[in-house]
Amino acid sequence: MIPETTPPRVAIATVGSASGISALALLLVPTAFAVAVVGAVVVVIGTLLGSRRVLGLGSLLQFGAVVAAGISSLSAGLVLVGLVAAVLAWDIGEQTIGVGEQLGTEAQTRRPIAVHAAASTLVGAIAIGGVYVTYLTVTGGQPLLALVLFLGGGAIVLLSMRT
Amino acid sequence: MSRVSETRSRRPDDESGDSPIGIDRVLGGLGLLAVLAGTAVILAPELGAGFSPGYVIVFVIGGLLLVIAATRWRDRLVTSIESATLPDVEERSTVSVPGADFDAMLRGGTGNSIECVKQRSKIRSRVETVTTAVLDDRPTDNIDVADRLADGTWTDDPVAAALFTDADESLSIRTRITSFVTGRSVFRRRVERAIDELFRLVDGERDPDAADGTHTETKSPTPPGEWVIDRWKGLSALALSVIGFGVVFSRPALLLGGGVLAGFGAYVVAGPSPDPELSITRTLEPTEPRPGESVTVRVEIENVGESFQSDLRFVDGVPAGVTVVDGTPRHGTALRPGASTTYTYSIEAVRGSHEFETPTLVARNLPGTLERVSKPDVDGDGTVTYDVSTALELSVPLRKHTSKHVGRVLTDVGGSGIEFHSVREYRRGDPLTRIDWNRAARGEGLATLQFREERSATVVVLIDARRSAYVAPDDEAASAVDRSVLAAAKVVSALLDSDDRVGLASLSPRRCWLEPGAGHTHRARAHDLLASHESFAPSPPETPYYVRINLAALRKRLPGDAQLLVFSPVADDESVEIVRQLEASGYPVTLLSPDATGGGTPGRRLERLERSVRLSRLRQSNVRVVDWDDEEPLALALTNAARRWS
Repeated sequence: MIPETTPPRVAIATVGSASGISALALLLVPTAFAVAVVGAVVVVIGTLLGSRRVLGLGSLLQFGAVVAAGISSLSAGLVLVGLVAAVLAWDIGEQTIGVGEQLGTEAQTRRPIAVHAAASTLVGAIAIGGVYVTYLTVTGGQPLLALVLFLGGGAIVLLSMRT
Repeated sequence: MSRVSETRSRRPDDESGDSPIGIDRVLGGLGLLAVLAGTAVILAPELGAGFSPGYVIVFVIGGLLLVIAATRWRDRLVTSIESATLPDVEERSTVSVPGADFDAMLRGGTGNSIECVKQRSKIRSRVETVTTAVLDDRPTDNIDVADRLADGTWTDDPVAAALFTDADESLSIRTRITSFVTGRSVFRRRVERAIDELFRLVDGERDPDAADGTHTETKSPTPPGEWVIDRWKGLSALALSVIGFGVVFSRPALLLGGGVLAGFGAYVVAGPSPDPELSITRTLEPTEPRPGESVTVRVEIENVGESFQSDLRFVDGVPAGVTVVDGTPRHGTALRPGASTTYTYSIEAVRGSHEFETPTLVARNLPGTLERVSKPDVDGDGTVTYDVSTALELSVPLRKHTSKHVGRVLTDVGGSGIEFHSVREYRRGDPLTRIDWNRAARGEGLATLQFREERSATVVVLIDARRSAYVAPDDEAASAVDRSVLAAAKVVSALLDSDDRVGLASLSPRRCWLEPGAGHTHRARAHDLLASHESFAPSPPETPYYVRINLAALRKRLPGDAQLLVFSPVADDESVEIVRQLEASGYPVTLLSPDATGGGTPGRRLERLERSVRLSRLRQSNVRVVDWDDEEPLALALTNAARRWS
């Protein structure tokens, strides 16, 4: 008897709602919204099938949609929510697939998935909060040097992370 | 997934070999872009009018970020996330299904074309042997069997016949298309059809449960240690692209998005190395079950460390010889310091003593970047021992080969008894009760009635426990050895009850011998051996059985008046050889053969045919054979067989 790899329903519901929120955030940009909805469906299917490849494809569509919406001047708050929700959908989906692979359907797998999801959601919320507060307090009229340093430094930090 | 090195650097998968190439491309591409942009500005000066040099720098940074992001995406696309492979504890690994190797061979797919040709000739010769044996039993005309195979007249099915005809029948396009679409080679189809045809010849009808073999692949479990999971690889690529697009199109929202993603990055990088301190306790209920009874396993996992364990995945070390019948030995949980969790599942085995193996524990940190695989110690119960049942009303039909002692086997010797045998002339000393008074009254002189004497037999129960006897019709059924041992326990009791002397021996490199004897202590000794002797262990012996050495040693020990009751699934030709040798050396053999062949796949069905051919060869050499089907009770099989013999 080889354990099947169909994930628990709660996890799928969580993934579905995260990717759904990500898509809904882009509602004001119809093209991006359509792509994001397709992405959300693909994400859920990937989680159901236990296929990281399909999940990744769906997430890529969602990220693409968020970037496209950002380029078409969607407001910052919605872009942030869309982006974080898409990351969460991928993260929880991947966690679900991984747990399913190792433990199978029959086993109790809710706790590791739930704890992981909660932690990631918390991190996402804190990140949005921090960044958005900074954005609101610092408005306009900043010197160009600050922007260049900010971007350059941020990029170097990101590069050093190797994630 | 890559192992964390001894120095415990977080990212041993340093791109040191790859990155110089990446940077070169980046710089090159960037330079090219700058040159192109410069050319464009020279050709059309109004393009550069709106740009201040400061913004150009920002723009360049944006482009650079996008290019780096692209290389990172490429890296991400070629990596696959791999987490630890946990052992397949649900599968019983000690017993094989007859025919599985043949199915694997028929499925083929491995090796080069030379290998393929070799395998095909092996398959063909195996099917040919069976076909010859089956056809030999059914001489329809005087043509030689080999000729009938060669010219394909043994069957009406052209596909089946084509298996042995040397000339390649020209295949129609339709056949080729069918074989392409179904993914089944023409050869395989021929083998399957030939086996179908053989079944029709033997049973008079096609075997209904013909089906494809299922194919499963197993990866070996990951060894203990700390492993890096590349699951967040791609986060920086995403962040860089988001920022890059934000810069190029000057959209603050996307820049902020990059900031949020950087927050995630910090969380991911800060993930600590998981170091669970757990206390695991296993309780079995009951620890000494009756044969076939299921055992409830209760596992309690407690976090005795100081840190929160966010992601624990536990797979219990289910013994190799048992099957999981209810629930699952796998469990996932998250535990605060001091918290504990409990789960239960049920296992079942037919008999024997089974020891639990070390379980596997996988602990992950919160972001899931590091995974520690360990083999924790377990407190509590670690062994299940099944006892051998004894209670059964069973009469075992024995052969007329007896000792001088009084017993219950009817012999052809005249004497005192119940069933009439013959009349002979009166001799002095004959008991008065046995004089034929009717005859005396007619004046024909004195005559003595003789009855069939009832004597006891000396039976040695011989259990085939060679490696090839560890077979079962499917992955969850009891193995032939299990069934043999349980049946032997019942048979020993029944024989001892009917005053026969019973001995016990194993056909196995792990020798077991119990001198024939009688009485209560003898029965207890026999049952003890059956329950716990290593030669009847639930897992097969490591060493092969050498007929010349081991069988000769057994024959020396057998008493001259012994008859043998052999338990064997007859899963190989060697078992036929052994039984024939024993019968030929003057020990009447009754073979009790638990049927361990399944149906479904071509290999299993071929195996079934081969067994029936073997049994009929044994019957021809005067061995009494009881073919004991998987679902049939032993008593019924014995009664049916005895009816046929008498």
